[in-house]
Amino acid sequence: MQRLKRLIIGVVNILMPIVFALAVGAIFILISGKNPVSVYVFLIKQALFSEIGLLNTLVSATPIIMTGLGIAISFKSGLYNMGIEGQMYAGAFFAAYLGFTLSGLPSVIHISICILGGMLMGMLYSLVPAVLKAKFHVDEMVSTMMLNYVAIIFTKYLTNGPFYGFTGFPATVFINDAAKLPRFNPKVPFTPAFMIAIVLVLIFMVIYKKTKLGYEIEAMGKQVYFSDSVGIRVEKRIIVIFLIAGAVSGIAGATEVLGVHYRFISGFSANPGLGWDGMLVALLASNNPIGVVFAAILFGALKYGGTTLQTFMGVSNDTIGIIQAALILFLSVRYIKTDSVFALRLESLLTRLSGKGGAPKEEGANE
Amino acid sequence: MNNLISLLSMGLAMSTPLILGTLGGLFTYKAGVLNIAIEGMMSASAFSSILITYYTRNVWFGILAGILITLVVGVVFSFFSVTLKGHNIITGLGINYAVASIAPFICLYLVGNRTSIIVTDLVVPSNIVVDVPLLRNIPILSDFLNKQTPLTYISIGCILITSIILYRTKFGVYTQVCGENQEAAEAIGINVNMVRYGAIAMSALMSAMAGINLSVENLGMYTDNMVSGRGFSCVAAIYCGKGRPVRCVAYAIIFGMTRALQIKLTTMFDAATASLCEMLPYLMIVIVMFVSSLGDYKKRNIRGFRNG
Repeated sequence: MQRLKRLIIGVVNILMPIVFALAVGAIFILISGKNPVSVYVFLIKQALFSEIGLLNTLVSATPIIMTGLGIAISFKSGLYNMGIEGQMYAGAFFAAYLGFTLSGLPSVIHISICILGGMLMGMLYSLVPAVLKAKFHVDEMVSTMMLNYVAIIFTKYLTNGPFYGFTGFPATVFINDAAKLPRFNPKVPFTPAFMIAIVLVLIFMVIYKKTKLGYEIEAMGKQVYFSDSVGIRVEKRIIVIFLIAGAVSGIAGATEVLGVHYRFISGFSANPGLGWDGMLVALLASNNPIGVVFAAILFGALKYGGTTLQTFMGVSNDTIGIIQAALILFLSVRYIKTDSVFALRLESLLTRLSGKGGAPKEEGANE
Repeated sequence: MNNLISLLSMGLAMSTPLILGTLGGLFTYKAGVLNIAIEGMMSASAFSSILITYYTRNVWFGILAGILITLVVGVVFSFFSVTLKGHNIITGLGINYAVASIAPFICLYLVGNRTSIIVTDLVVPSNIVVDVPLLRNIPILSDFLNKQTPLTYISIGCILITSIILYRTKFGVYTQVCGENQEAAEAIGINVNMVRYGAIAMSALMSAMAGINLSVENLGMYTDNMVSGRGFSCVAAIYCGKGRPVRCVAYAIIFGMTRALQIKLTTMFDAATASLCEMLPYLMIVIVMFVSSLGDYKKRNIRGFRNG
């Protein structure tokens, strides 16, 4: 009974923000003189009900799954690590660099080196705010955001200057064929990157459920001073958590380069970027790895659908941004708490339906 | 010497939005709801003031609209983070994100392009500067303090006003009580939510002035993403100054000077190196935050994260 009640409340808490956000989006679609229902139907059809569309949705979802995992582990432990974007740029650039400088390697080894390189670079870049936070108590939210700007500007400089690919816009040369992730369907950049993302999800689940680190993350997220008092080495754990987040973001950047673009393009993650989408996904999934996958697919659909909206329906791509922003705002609120009036009514209703009529068990505020 | 003076003059101009944003953010910092939405509030006012100026052909309407719309943004932020008790970092980021996507949407729909509105035919930035009577006679000071825009002088006045409001008025003291101990504030009958709404409104008002300074006073135009992290510089300044008005403003001025330095450096190097210089303001914030934390680091002598 309690589980069913909690499930219903959880579903309502996730669905309500989505409905509200879509409603806000509908207002803006109306302003631009289109019919919101037909736009949403078109978006869903495009993104989910065709093979190409579905694969493209998964392609858009892949990096968001990884950045979402990175943000989720940070949020879960109470760290506002907004640096996923910058770490992804660092990882992506280094992966591209390895991709076009190394040659003559077998494909599998070359790809592994690139992804590992991207991962290491992401970790290295996340080490800066990590040490600043752990040792010097520098606020991680501001420092990581500033370091995002630094990474974006620095890679722009690199692609404009020393590694300019002579393409007319800031991008490096293409990576070697051996470093390219194989595509399952020649028309869509759907690659093993998605499987890598799923494997990462499984790894995160194991970390959360089966390891000491998972317990410590949970404890730090609930009460960092208490965790400190009972002997968790908070300083070290902060660095480890940042490194894990940096690693997944580095991999996200690397797979984007190796699977989708085949080179490093300055500003490839667009504005406001995959790191932001990751944050949204983590919020929507309340930091649960499996939830991250579904939320990322929803976002992949919005993202891919958004690009087709512009061309086919004449609705500005910014509408998707507005929906996402509304989603953040509505997601920040818990609509139904486990001890609210609605929850109690729901419980008595469920009890009556099941016909047992037993007194509901007392439940503390373990929300 | 000339270079230095023009750097100082430009630095002061660049510091203006940061000073205003920082002072506004101080109210929310003291009230216990850190305002990450300064960035979005600045964009909202920079955008709406120029948009309304463009439509009504009157700068004053534009400025008024900028302030009003930013206050509305402030109310939305308060509603989500105070009334509905959303986490204020997340709601703040949401506001930033919302403004960043609504502005180009409206821009595209009303003006026809996504990224800029130009009203330089109505606003001539070089005509807005103030020639201060006494100051103009002082030899060196006048070179960089005189002939700044009105909001620069207002922002300097705001330092005093903010200090007085925060430390000498009932509202200011209530604000601090709400930030320090919410339960205690409630126990003695302070309406915490109202005080927080007030603090956020103050923050929105000052961020609105900052945005107007950026778009109307300095350029006479709005371009997409023109705030470019200034709101977060304000948050950094508040953290570095630990919520003391004068200290925070000092950090804001350091960040403003760095931006001016970056623009100066851009003219000295070739295009590629110049683009590298763009990192400077952001890198500087991280470095300054690090250096300002070193003082506390030395004082620590007990193990553990908490004792830092």
